[in-house]
Amino acid sequence: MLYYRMVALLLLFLGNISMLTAQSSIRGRVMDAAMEAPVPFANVRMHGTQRGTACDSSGYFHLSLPPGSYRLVISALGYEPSVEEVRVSEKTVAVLNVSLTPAVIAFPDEIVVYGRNRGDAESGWLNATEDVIRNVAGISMIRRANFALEPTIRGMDAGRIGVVIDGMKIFGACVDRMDPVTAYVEVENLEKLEVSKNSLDLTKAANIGGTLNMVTHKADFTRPFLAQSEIGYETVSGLRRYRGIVNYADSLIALRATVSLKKSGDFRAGGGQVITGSGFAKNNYKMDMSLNLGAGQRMEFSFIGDNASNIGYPVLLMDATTTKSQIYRLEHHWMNPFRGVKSFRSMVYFNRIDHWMDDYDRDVTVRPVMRNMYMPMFGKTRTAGVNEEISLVTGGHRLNLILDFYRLTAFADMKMVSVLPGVSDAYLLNLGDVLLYNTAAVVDYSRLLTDRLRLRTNLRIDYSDRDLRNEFGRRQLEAFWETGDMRQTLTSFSFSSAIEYRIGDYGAVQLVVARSERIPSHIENYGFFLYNVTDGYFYTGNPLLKPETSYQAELSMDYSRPEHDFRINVYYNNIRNYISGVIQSEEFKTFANITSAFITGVEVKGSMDVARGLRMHVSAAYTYGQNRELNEPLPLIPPLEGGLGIQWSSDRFRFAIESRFASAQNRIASRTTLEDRTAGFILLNLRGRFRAWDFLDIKLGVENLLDHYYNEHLSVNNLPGRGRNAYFGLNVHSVE
Amino acid sequence: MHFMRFVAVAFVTVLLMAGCSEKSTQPTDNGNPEGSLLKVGEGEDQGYKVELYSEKTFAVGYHRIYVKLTKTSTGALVDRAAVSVVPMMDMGAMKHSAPHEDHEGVSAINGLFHCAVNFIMAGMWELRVNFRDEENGTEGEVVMNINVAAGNMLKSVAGTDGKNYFITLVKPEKPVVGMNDFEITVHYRETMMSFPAVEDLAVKMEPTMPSMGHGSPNNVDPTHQQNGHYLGKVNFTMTGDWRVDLDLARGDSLLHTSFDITIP
Repeated sequence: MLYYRMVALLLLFLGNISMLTAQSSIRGRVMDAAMEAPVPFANVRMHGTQRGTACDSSGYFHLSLPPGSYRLVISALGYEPSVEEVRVSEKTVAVLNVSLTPAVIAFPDEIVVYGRNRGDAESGWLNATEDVIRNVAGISMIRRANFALEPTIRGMDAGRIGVVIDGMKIFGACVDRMDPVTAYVEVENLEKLEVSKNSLDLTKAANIGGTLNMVTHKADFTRPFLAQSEIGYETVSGLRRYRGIVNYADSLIALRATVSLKKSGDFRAGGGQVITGSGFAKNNYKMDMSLNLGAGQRMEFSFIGDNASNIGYPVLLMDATTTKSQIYRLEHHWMNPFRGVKSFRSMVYFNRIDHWMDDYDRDVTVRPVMRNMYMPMFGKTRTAGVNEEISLVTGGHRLNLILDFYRLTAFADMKMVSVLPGVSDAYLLNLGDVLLYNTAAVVDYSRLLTDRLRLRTNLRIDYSDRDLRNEFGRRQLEAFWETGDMRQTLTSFSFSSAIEYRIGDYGAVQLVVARSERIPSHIENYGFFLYNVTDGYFYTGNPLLKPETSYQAELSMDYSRPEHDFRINVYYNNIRNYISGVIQSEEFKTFANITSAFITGVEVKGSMDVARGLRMHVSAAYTYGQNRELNEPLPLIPPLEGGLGIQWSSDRFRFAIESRFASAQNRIASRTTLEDRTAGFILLNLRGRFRAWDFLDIKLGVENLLDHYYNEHLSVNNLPGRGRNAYFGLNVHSVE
Repeated sequence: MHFMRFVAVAFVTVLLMAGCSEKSTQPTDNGNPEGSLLKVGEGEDQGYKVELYSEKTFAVGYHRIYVKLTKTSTGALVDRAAVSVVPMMDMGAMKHSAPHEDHEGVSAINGLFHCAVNFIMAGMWELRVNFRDEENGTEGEVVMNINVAAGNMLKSVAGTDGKNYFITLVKPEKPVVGMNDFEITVHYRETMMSFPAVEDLAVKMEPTMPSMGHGSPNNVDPTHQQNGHYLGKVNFTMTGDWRVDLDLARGDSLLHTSFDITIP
């Protein structure tokens, strides 16, 4: 979020500046990192002052300064600001060439969590990845337990959006979606979020509702030795956690290892009500190795292991007993391999997810659904993929070509064991050995049309071949669909285009239009007997589904200065062949393409300096979704929601008061599913972080200060949100 | 060259991942007329040998009975004959028969004459096989005794019209998860020797799992085909204990019955 960026920049400014007097200067050129084209009229400022200059139309600048060490902030509209250290000697001209990364058209909602340029100001500020994701206006979280929240972008989730880790496809093993991909990246491993809330960016996944790429921290060559150890405690659930980070680097190899251990008891809702059976335990490990191969080449290997156990889902029928995930990635980067080729990237990855759940800890003799039956379930997915990207750049043009291939196998089954004597066990397959191949080719082209006009166009074609291989599973589904063949081949074609025009020195207008398609998910095609707790129906997959097609347009306006910024987005997304549950019989629904639905909305976001070190930020998002066929609201659409906060930062201290609000949601789906109305709420949070010594940070905060009882509209079965939560953290780290 | 090496590695990886799929083969049948049928008895009369085959051992319920007729002198198969199998049970004080179906027409089907008997109770039954060779008009009869075990494929239910009906589950014989053919026969007792097929009923069928209180979609109610046979489709969504409820009506409701079926 821009707000955090600004705060971090301010931090870097503080504690400057020695100024001497003599004849010396800095000159240089500011270039567009993506385009190899100059960035005209960029600002070059000395950190913490208003002193500085601007580049000319060819990107050149010259700044007369007394000798000394300076920290310069180079910023330009539409680019990530860059902070450069430069030393100026007496009577010399220091040369500083800077590459700025285009920000706006690439990822307007990129959130840097542990960014390189921010120092360590951000690290450990928030407690969980979910808190970071939630900060993006337009992203809301589906909450099924006090664990593993699932992101939705503008009311769209699951197969409609692409959620990836470092570009890797990972598919949840649980057919009840208890294991969203976002659970595998702990906050200390999240370097940044790349969020595309529309289908402009098609490079990560076919989508009709945007993508969320969780860029993880890799081994850092700039940190010869870094170690961090943090313990934390949260009162609302008795959560105890430990995280540790070690980084080692020499010129050839960099290694990073992190561990995160958490154990949580039952949480309390506002007002003190204990939500029994909501605890969990989770361990996460990440290891990264980077090899500097020389000649612009780097090899990266990373592994994420995530194990959780005894996860309580108090509002669902079952608890997750064990989850095991292993995510492997091998990536090769090659900068400037040939003339005209800026980079060549190859990634091979594999991940395996296993998920067990059961209701052995529940009293099944009293519940209304599936009474007297235990229902242990198991699910697994295995995904392997190859991703090749070549980036060709000549002055003013950038062409990225991507080949994106993956292979998925998915299996899920369910046993039903009666507590009553004389009843045979029952058994079924929720996913009878799905085998899915997906191959995509992507063209991502950008060009500078003029100094002020920038164009980006994406084209993506996906070809998917999928089948159900288990005979038992096939027979289950063939009873529903009179197709002799469960195998399906599907093609989707997506196209997007954005044009950005810069107004004055600080403003920009961006228009995105896209026609995108997404192929049904393997669960929508082949899922069987999936119990939906919201409407009480068993869902059956439909192998004959057509892809959903989206026609969308978004207009956004940006005004961005270091001391204040503002952004507004208005969008409209029309979806044809919208996939929805359709009643088949008294207890069964199938997935079917309905004619049309639309989602529209508006988001605003801004921040401003109100005094030295004090910055206020505000954001709000409103989403409106309508099922045209049934003329009723789409389900799981967040109400008007947003936040207002003020943050004070100094060298050693950081303090924030935030409020988060959501209005009531009275637009609910009653035919496609059975939602209920949700009341509005306002929450108040206090957060603080204090650097007690150079090696020790203390983190303190209170979330939901007023202990308000509430539930979010996207909370499944009205699971209440957490009550007042005081948290505490102690971070011991190496001193640089 | 590094570049080519990486391209090669990526290519090989794709191939490896694409190459792992399994193939299966189908067993083929041999051409033996009685095939894998079970021989349940034989006898001789008028120079003819009569052999009886069944698909399974006898239990209460519906059984197809295959009759193989050969001339003892030459061993030649007779393939044009009228053949019937009449079941009879001697209970001492009284005798009674059971619903049965004669071979239709006079042409053998792949060398066999297809009859059927619906055993309405367990015990020792007498099967009278009558034949008439269409070539020379020779008639004969062979009587065999067979033992019928108890079973749960047949329901004897009193209808609202006061008559006694026999509803027999014919299919699925080996129920599986997924869609199954569902077939019943309906007969009523006219006399102790006569059990006519009932051909004019409207049948409603509903499968449920009593232990879970839910059913399944996409079932097809049985409709009459011929000779009291009603054919529909039943969808068992999972293994376990199922109950198929049947409502048979002739205008007004006539009778209700159910079959318990366990899917292994």
